[in-house]
Amino acid sequence: MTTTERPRPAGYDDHRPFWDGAAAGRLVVQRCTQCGAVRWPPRILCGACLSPEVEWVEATPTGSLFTWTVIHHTTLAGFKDDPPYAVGLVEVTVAGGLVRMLGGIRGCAPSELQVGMALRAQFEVVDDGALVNWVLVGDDERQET
Amino acid sequence: MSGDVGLRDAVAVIGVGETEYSKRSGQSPVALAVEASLAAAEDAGIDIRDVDGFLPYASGITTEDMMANLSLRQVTFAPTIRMGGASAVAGLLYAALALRAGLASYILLLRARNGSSGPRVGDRRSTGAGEEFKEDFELPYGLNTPGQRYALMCRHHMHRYGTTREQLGAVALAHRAHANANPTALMYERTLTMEQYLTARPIAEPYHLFDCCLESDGGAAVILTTPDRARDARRPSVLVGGVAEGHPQSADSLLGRDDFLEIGLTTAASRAWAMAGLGPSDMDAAMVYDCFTFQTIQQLEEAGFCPRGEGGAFVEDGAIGPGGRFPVNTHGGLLSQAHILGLNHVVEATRQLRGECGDRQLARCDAVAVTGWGDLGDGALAILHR
Ligand SMILES: [Zn+2]
Repeated sequence: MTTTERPRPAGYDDHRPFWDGAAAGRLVVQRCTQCGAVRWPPRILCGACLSPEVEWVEATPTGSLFTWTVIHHTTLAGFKDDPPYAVGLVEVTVAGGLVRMLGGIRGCAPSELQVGMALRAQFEVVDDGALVNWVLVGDDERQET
Repeated sequence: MSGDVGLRDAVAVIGVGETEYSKRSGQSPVALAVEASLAAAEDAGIDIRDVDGFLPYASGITTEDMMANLSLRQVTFAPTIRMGGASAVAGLLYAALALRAGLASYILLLRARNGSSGPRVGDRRSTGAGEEFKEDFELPYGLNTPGQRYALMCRHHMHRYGTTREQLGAVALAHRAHANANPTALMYERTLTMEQYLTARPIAEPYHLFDCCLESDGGAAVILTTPDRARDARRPSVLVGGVAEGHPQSADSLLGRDDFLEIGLTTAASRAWAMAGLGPSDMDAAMVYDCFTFQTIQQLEEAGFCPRGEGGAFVEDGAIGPGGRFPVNTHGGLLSQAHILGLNHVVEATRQLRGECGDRQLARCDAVAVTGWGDLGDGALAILHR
């Protein structure tokens, strides 16, 4: 990859189910089949019971903004035209618990972001994987859900 | 683990040395390392070739570099400590183990880098723990620097506890005021006002320019030995009363932490205090790994200098500046002296305890806490005393 291209997911094997899910518009995270604890980032063993038995379960692709940064100075050439852009952690509730996921935060000016804002996952297929960014849920959308 | 005093006072700091700190050293990192090491040996009153222990930094000067360039006769102890910016303070723990066990007699702890004129610290792709996760789930969203990651922690604290930009600014101004009294600081002649702080360009909000540490060239070195040998040293020796390292849950990623503000220091602190038999209220000052303004506040909280959530108020009104209630980073720290990976904090603590700091000397200085932070929250705390 040339230095002006955006870094794309490297596509490590341990994360493959996530890419397959995202490419199909599904948000999936790991859940222990022994004790039911959900986890993110992906891990080899369950943090609660150490079981290696894992399934990838689908989460409702919505969440709330936990924290974020607005990046004005990037050291990645592929992002040099993007600032200011927001990257944040989003709390997603899954059957069995809650995980925090990281992605771009879109849909409003970065200066208007607030903790707890409702967000919805936006899937974008790239190369062998997929990006999952988060966009603000509009007022009309929120009434429906 | 509480009450374990086993390594209390196992280490004496007998020599410290620094090169000039600059934006462009014009020398290689190895040359800077040699200069700082010789200065530390001179300060200690030993022949540098008596050094038989070395504590290399994961991405820095190697044991082989130092053996070759300092003509060390033999090195019998040289573990690499991979804790990023916490490695310098954690190094004191490894030195304590080796000295108590008789594995080495004189241990050299050094840092040397061209952090400004070399490959720019801020331009390189961040490397460290959890690389596969970062490559798949962080880099593709344009997140790759420590400042961006730690800004996430800062924002959370601001939301949860009402910490303000003015309180972050109080940290920046205190460091600058300390640096203005320290001729070795890169920012010695550059003052900073709250107006300048608040209007500086944003980097990774909430962080703006003056929330971020310096990029700098230079080297620092410290020579460590047993308290027995220290009696022959040239200067009054400084003892490491207690030292501990700690690592956060989900150590390779900020995601997956039940308590988003818990860091390695959170658990290291109680062990270090217990070993030393001292507490935060016994300290005359602290040298805190100030990679960013909020991380200074966070570590003051997690080390126990104030309850969590009260760090913003703790640093207000010049309280951690010169002449303040509790001075922090009297050399100017990473924010305003130089970024020598926190070893400059150990050097400053030693000099304050010896009473050598001239205009910035603390009126009373019997004990100083030194923290380290690296790699997404690995932490260390050491308590140095006279
Ligand atoms: Zn389990």
